[in-house]
Amino acid sequence: MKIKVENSLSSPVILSFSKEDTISAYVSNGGFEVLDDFIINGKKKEILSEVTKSDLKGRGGAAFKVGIKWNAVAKIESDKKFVVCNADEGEPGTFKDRWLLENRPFLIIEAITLCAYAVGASKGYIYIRGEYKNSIKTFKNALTQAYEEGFLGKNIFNSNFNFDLEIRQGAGSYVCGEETALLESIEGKRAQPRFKPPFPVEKGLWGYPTVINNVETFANVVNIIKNGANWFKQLGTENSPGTKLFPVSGRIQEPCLVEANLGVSLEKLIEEAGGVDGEFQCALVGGAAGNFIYEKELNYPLSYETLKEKGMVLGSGAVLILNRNDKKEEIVEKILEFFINESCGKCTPCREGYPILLEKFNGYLNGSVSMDEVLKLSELMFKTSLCALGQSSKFLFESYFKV
Amino acid sequence: MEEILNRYRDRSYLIEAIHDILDEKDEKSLTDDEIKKIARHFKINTAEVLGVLTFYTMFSVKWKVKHTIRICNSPACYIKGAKELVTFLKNYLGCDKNNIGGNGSFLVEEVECLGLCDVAPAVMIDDKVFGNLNKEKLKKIIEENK
Amino acid sequence: MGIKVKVDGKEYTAERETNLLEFLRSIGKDIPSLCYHPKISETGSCRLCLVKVNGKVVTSCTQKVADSLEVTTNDEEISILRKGVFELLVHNLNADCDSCSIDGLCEVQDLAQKLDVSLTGKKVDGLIDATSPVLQYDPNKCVKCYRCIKACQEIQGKGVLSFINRGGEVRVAAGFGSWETSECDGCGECIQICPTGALVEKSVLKTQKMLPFEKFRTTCIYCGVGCQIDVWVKGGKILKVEGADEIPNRGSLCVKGRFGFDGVFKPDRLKYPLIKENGIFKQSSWDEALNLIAQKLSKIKDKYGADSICGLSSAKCTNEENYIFQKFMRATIGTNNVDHCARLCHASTVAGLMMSFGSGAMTNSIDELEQSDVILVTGSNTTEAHPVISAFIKRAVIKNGAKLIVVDPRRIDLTRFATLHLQQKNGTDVAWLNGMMNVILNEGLEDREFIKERTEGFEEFRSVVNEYTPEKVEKITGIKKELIVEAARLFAKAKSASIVFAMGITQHTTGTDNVLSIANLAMLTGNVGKLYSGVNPLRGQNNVQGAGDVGALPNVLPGYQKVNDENRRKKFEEAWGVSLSGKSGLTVIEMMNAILEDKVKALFVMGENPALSDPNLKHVREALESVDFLVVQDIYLSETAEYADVVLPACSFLEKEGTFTNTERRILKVNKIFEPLGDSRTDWQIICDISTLMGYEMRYKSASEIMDEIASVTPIYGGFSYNRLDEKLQWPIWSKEHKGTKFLHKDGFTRGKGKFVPVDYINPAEMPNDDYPLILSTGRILYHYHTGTISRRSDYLTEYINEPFIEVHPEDAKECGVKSGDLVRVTTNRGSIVLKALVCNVVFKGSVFIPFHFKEAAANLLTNDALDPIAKIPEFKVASAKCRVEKV
Repeated sequence: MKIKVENSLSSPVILSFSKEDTISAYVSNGGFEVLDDFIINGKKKEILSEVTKSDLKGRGGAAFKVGIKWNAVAKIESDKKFVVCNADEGEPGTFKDRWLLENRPFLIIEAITLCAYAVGASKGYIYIRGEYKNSIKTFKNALTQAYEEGFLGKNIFNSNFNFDLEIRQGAGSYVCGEETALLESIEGKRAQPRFKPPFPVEKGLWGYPTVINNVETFANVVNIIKNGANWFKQLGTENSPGTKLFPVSGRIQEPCLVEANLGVSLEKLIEEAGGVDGEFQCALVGGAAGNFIYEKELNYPLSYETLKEKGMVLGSGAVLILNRNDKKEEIVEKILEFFINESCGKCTPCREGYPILLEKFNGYLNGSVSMDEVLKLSELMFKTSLCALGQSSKFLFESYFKV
Repeated sequence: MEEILNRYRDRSYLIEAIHDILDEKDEKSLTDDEIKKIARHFKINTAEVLGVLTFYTMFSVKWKVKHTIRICNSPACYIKGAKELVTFLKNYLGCDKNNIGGNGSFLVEEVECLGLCDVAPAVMIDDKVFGNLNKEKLKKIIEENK
Repeated sequence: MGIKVKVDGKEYTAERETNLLEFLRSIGKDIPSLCYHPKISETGSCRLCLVKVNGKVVTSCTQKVADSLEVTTNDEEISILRKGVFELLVHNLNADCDSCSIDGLCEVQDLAQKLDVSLTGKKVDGLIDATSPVLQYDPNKCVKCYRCIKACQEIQGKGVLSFINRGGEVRVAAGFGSWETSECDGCGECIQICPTGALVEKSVLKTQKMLPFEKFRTTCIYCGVGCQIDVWVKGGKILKVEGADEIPNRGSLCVKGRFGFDGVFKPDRLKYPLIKENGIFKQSSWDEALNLIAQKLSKIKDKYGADSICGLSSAKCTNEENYIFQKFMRATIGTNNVDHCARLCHASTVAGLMMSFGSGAMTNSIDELEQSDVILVTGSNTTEAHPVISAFIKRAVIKNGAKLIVVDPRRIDLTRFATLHLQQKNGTDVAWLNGMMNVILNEGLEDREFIKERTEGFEEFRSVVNEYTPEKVEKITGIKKELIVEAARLFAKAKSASIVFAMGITQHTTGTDNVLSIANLAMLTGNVGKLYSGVNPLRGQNNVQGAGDVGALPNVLPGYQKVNDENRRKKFEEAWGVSLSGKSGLTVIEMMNAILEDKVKALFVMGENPALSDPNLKHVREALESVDFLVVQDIYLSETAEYADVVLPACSFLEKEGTFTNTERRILKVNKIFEPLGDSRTDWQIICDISTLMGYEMRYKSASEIMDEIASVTPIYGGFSYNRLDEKLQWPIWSKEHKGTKFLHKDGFTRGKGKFVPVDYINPAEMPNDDYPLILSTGRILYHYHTGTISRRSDYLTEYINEPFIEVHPEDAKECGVKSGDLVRVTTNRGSIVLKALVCNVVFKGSVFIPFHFKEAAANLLTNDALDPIAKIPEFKVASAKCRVEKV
C-alpha cells in the first residue's frame, strides 16, 4: 500500500515509512519506552491527564473525546474492567486500520496497555474483522512477541501490573463497528447493538466498565504521552487537534493512505494522491455513513467541527473520488443495499426502513416519488433508530440532493 | 472438533470456535450434529448457535464447498468494474442459482468492502487477497487456486 | 427517596432509577410500546415509546428516572415519529385480522387504532413453523419484539429461542430452525407474552375467532405448586389456558398445565355408575350403586368389625373431599384405616420434620427461593416434577447470582445451572449430609448462636457426625471428598441457604433418617425460621399437602392431631357426635398386606390408583383382586377401577368447587367451570350420600360449608373461610385476624426447640449383587403426571412422549449390548418388564432409571415395597435390577 504524509506536516505522527512488525524494530525506534517509564513510575494520573488535555477525539467516526471515556472508567470502582480496541474496519472505502494493524501492531499494543494501566483494567481485547486475515496473522504474531518480551502478561516491567490482551475475530458483520454490537460479538453473541445509556464506560463487556476505542485512536496515544498534550495540540485545528489518516481511493491517480493535519482540504488530499483520474464529480467522504462533497466544497477544512457546522460528517475519513463518468445514484443504491444487508434487524426503523428507502429512492429516480418523501423517511430513521447504522442515510441524502 | 472445542471453555468463544472448526473442515459448513455438539459444549441451546451462524456472513451454513471466493462489490471496487468481474466470474465458473460453480468447488460471494480499496477491484479466495484485477488476471488466479 | 420529575409541565415525584416508561404509565400517560414488558429486561427495539427528555427524542423504556428530567410525552413531532415508526413496523406484517383467531386481542391492532394506521393483510412468504406439538410460529405476524426470546431465557431460564438471520430476514427460531428439533419443552411462556398472533396455541387455531369468550380462574392439578390458571372457554370448550399473573406462579406454567387439560374430557370419561356382575361392568343407577355400597359396607362392618374396612383418600381431590372422606371412615365406618398416597411420597418428610421441628411441611415460600444466596437441591428433579419452581431456582441463579448445589445421582437439568453437582450413589444420603456437617463443624462454620438459643440435642448429634469424615463419606457415596468440603463451605457461608428436596430423599427405607439429616443441616447453619432459607420439601401432587392437613392419614385427625391423644379425640367426638377409635390405622402398603392376610375385607378408593402407583405391583394387584369388596371412585376407569366391584363416576376438578393446599401451605381455590359430565358427581357428595345411607347423616350444602367445619376442628386452618380465599393464605392461620404464615418457626419451633436427631448411615434394603448388578431408580417426567390417567389422554402431551423407556449409562449399555431404541427386559426380584432403552449419561454407570407413568411397562412391578420403619414409606428409589436385550 502507498502511504503519504501531506507535505505541510514536518514529520509523520502515526505513519512510519519503516515497517515495525518485529518487536526489535519497534523497540529500537524507542517503542515501549513510554510504557516502561509510566508503569515504573506509577504515573496513572499523568496518562489520564495528558490524554484529557490533548483533546484527542475518537477516530472511528463518532469523534467522542477519549479523555472523558478513560477518566470515566478509571473513576468507577469495579472488580473487573476492560479495554477494547475496535479493529472492525468495515466502512466502505476505509483501509487505514488495516495498515496500522499490519505495520505498526506494537504501537497499538503499547497504547492499549497504557490505557489499561491508566484505567485499572487487567484484560483487553482487540476485535479484528474476520475478513482481515493478514491483519489477524500479523497481530497474533505481534502479541506472541510482546508476551515473550514481557510487555504483556504478568508483572509487566516487574511491576505488579498484569495485563492480558487477546484477539477476537469478527465473522462478517459491518454493524460490529458499532461499539455495543462489537461488545456483544466479543461475548460470542449476535452483534445486535445495545441501547445507550448505559454507555460501555459504565456497563460494557459483561456489564463491566469498558474503554472502547478505534485502532487509529490508540495509534495517537503513545506520541501524545511521549511528547505531551501541547505538542499534539499544535497539530490539526483548535477543536480537532492532531493528524488523521485519510484513505483515498476511487478515480484517483495513486490510491493511497494519506496522513494529514485535521482541517486539511479535500483539494490537498487529491493533490497528494496524484490528482483525479478523469474530471472530478464529487467525493464520498466517510464511507457509507458519510456524505458527498462537491467541487465547490473542495476547500472545506476537513475537521470534525467544521463539517458538523455545515451539517456534514467526516466519519472514518475515507475519501472515494468519483469522476464525471461515474453514476452517483448507483453509489447511493449500493449503499442502501449495503445497509439493507448489514442491518442487524433489531430495531424497527433500520430493519424495515432501508428496504422502503431504497424503493422510494428508485421511485425518485423514475419520477414517481418526491425528494421530500425520501428525505422525510431518512430523517425519521435518523431520529428513531437504535444505533448509527439506521441513522446514517440522512447525511447521504442531504448531500445527494444538494446538486 | 472435540479438540478445538476443548481449547475454549467460556461461551464468549463461540465465534472463535466456529472459525476454527470451519477452518479445519474441507466443507465450509456445519452439520446439525456439529451444531448440537457446539451448543452442548458451551451449555447453550442449538438455536443460539444457529442465531450466531446466520448472523455473520462468513459462516455459510447453507452450502458445502471447498473454496469461497469473496468478491468485493462495494463502492470503491464497484466503480473500478467489480460488477463486470462478478458476471465474468460466475459465467467462467458456471455458477448455479446458489452461486456455486467450478464443479461444486467454488462459492462466489459478493461481499462488502474488504478494505482493499487501494488495489480495487479485489477478491479474497479463502484467506488469500488479490487486487488490481481484470478478467485475465482473475482467470489466472482461479486456475492457480483450484 | 423520591425525586422531582417534570412531565408535560407538571411536577411529579418518582423513585430514582425507575423505568421511565413504567413511571409515565403509572401517572396515566398512554404511551405506545411493543417490545417493553415489565417481566423482562428492556430491549429498546420497537422504537415506539418515544418521548422527549430535556428536548431530545428518546425511547422511554430505556430511560431511568434521574435528576432534573423534563419529559414531554406527546407533541406534534413525537406523534409523527411514533406513527412513522409504527407504519414501518406494519409495512411487511401480515395483519390479515379478519382471518386471525386472535382478532381483537392483539396489541398491534390496539396500537393501529390508537395511532390511526390502517392494517392490511400481506402476501405470506415467511415459512410458518407448525412443528411444535403445542404451538405455531408465524413470522409474517411477528413484530420481532424479543419478548418470546427473553421470556424463554429470563423468566423460564431455558433460552431455547433465538433470532436467526439478520436485517429484514430476521425471524424467531428454535433448534435447527424448526421447533421440533429444539429443546423446547412446551411451557408456552412465549405464547403468553407474544403481543400478536405470531405465537399461538394450536388449540386456538382450531377456533376461527377467540372473541367472545369467558375466562375462569382456578388451580392447576398437575403438581403441588398450585399454579393459578385462567381457563378461556368458548362454546363449552376450553380455548386455551394461561398462567395467572399472581402468587404462586406469577404467570408461568408448564406444558401440562397449559396444554394438558384436553385429557379431562375424553369420550371414555365415566358417566354413570358401574357394577361388576360376573366379571363384567354393567351400567347402573346411582340409587342402585350407592345402596349396594352402603349395604355391603354395613354388612362387612357388622360381621368383621370396622377395622376390616380400609379407605384410600386422594391427594388429587380437594381439602373438603378429603375431610369428608376421612370423616366417613372415622365417624361412619369407625376406623382409622384411612391413608392416601402421601404415604408414598412425603410420609417420611412429615414424620422427620415433626420430630425435628414439630411441623411437617415446607417451611418457606416458593418465591423466597428466588432471593436465596445458596440453594441446595437434592432428590428433586425439579425441572421435570415441579417445572415452575425450577424456573424460580433458575432465576435465582441467572438473575440474582445465587449458587446452586445439586446433589442427585442423575445429571438432571438443574445441574446446568449448578455451581456444584454431587453425584451420590442412590440411597446414601445420610452419609453425604453427615459428611457436609462434619466439615462444617470441623471448620467452625456452624451457627453457634442459633444452636444454643433455638435447638437441643446438639452434643449427641455432634458425636455421631464426627465419625463422618469426608474420606469415609467418599467411600460410601462415591462423591469426591473435595466436593463435599466445597459444598459444605458454600452452604455454611451463605447469608441465607435453602434446601429443596423431594422423593429422592423421602422414598427410602431410610427416608425419615434422610429428612432428619436435612433438618440437622438447616439447624446447624441457622437456616430455619428466616426468610429465603428453610427446609423445603416439594409436594408432588396438587393437594397432597391438604389431604394430610385435613386428616386423610391413619395416625392423625385433621390438623395433625394424634388419634391416640384422648383430649384431641374427644374434641372430634363432640364435634362429630360419635365415638372414635383411638387406634392408629393401616398405611397404604399395610392395607394391601392385610388384605392378603385376610384381615381386611373391603377397600374404598377415592381417586387413587394403587394398581400403578404402588411398589411391588404384583403384590398390590393380588390384593386388589382378592379383596372381598372394592369400590373405586374416579373420573376414568383406572387400572385400579378395573378390579372394582362398584365404580362411581366422579367429576373432574373443572366441574367442582373446593380448595387445594399447595406445597407451600397456601390454600387455593378450585372453581367450577363446567357442569359435571354425564351423571358424574363430586366426590364429597358421593361420600356424603353413602354415609347418610349407612345411618350417619352428612348433609352439606356447599364446599364452603365443609371448609367452615374444617376450620372449626383444625387449628392450623382455624382462621380460614371462603371469604378469605382472595388472600391466598398460608397455614397456620390461627384466627380470623391472623394473616397466615409465610415461613414457619420464625420465633420458635412448633415443638418449642428444634431437635437435633443424630442419624447413622444404613444401606438401602436392596444392594446390587452379582445377579442383579444395577441400581434401579424411578421417578417422573415432565410430560406425564403420576399414573397418567389424565396426562396420557392428552393429545398434546402424548405427542411429546407416549411410551415407557429406561435410561441406561453408555458403558452399561455397551456391556449389555444395548443401543438406544432397543427393547430390553428389566428384571428385579419382584417382576420383569420390557421397554425401550435410552442410552445416555444422565444416569451414572451402574444405575438405571425408569419413569413410572406407563402402565404398559409399569416400573412399579419392579420396585421394592420394603418400608421405612417409622414413616412406612416404600423404597421406590433403590432396587437392584438386571437388564438384558430382549430378542424380538
